[in-house]
Amino acid sequence: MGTNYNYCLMQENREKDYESITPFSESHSEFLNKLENIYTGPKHCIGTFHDKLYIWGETNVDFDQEDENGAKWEVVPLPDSKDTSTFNKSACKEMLLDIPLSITFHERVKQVSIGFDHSLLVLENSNFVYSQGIGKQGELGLGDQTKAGVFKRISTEFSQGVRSVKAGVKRSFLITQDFQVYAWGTTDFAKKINVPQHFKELDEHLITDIVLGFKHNWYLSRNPEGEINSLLCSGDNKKGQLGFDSSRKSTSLEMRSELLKNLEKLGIQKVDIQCTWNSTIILGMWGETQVVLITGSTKYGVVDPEKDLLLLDSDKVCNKEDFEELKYFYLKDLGEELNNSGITKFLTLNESFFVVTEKNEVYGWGWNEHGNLGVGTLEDESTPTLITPNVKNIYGNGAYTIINYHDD
Amino acid sequence: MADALGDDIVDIYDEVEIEDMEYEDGILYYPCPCGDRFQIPAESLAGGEKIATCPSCSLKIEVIFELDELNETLTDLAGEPISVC
Repeated sequence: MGTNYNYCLMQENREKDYESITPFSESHSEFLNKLENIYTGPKHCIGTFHDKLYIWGETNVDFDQEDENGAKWEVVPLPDSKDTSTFNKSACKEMLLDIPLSITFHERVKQVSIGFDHSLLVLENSNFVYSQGIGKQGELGLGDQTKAGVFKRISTEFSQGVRSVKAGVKRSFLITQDFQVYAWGTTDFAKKINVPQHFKELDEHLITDIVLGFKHNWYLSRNPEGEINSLLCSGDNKKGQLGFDSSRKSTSLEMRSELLKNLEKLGIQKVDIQCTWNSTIILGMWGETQVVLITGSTKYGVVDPEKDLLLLDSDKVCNKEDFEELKYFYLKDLGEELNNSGITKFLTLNESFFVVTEKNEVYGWGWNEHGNLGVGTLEDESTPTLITPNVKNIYGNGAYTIINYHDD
Repeated sequence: MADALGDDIVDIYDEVEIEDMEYEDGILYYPCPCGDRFQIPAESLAGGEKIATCPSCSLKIEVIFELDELNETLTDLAGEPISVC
């Protein structure tokens, strides 16, 4: 559901918004169901299966280019889709792909991360990273090369091994197995860096995860139990998306130990962090209750002024002075049904949200101009609304959503 | 944030410094959260327009720039001499 403008929904009608849940054709469903992983970016999507990678949506592909092993893109025929023999293979330009293309590597695809115009790829048993797409700010990491029509190997070898990669808007990050962070592209600390650079200021923090908004960044260090024991941030705050007063437009790298302490003191446990385009979401358990705290952009139904409270206005908090770091966070009213349900997945699109419950139900709220919430309208929803049951997984970005149902 | 421009009230999604935009063939672009790009012709900026629109959704941004430095800024963004005013 949502916009098919970039063909991320692989439907033939590019101009149509799908405001109701619309089934994929049989061959599309079969194709999507066989994928091991689906990664969704604002403009394009990638699916993986063993050593195969599939790409569709709006992206830069070049049928004349080969990767380091001589592999080229191939059109994936979907019987009930259009005639693929007439596919326009115009070289090295941004293409709108309503059918997937595939490419085969000789190692299992370990991880993919999608930014705005580019993608990053890590292969199993490789100390290299590959990038594809368009990167005028250096986010490809390929030196002066600003376009890559296939996945091209970034020349830097990460001999420590690659733990994970994270592609953002105009920037890229990599964490090595020994917790070093590399960055390239345009970030809040450097512009147009076109090869990976070691972000040494983070070395002592043993970063394990990076969470990115449009122009704000969170750096997390988790202990083996998965708990966040160190937290830093950087980037834009002009909408309050880092939890500071919005008069403070941005920040360079800053420790947020006090924020973690405030959460702990308040009794919020199992803390996790996610971002939308211009907000930060803290997820956690407050006793037996699931809580969602939001700071930053509060328009487009993100926050309901009638129901959601600034956290410190909640009657659960007595002494506001003790919780200064939580001053700008809203406590989202999830409603009785969601409060009492375990949440197995929380998905952020760029201005909207979905939660999947232990009962496999999906709830959503936020920006809905393209019908991406799938509730049958194009109206924003400020209250978490039950969308559909029997959900196995949910994917999406920008203003589109893909739901995978259980078979029964 | 609402901004008064003439008789119309324009609901602005964001205010963006022109230096953060990308210049391509006479048009300035900036990523839109819907997956498309905000855009405005450089010549429109020279004519006093400062609202960039997204062709795929209703969101708009306001471009922050100095008119008397516009040619110089565009030249920096394009990497070649640009003159629109």
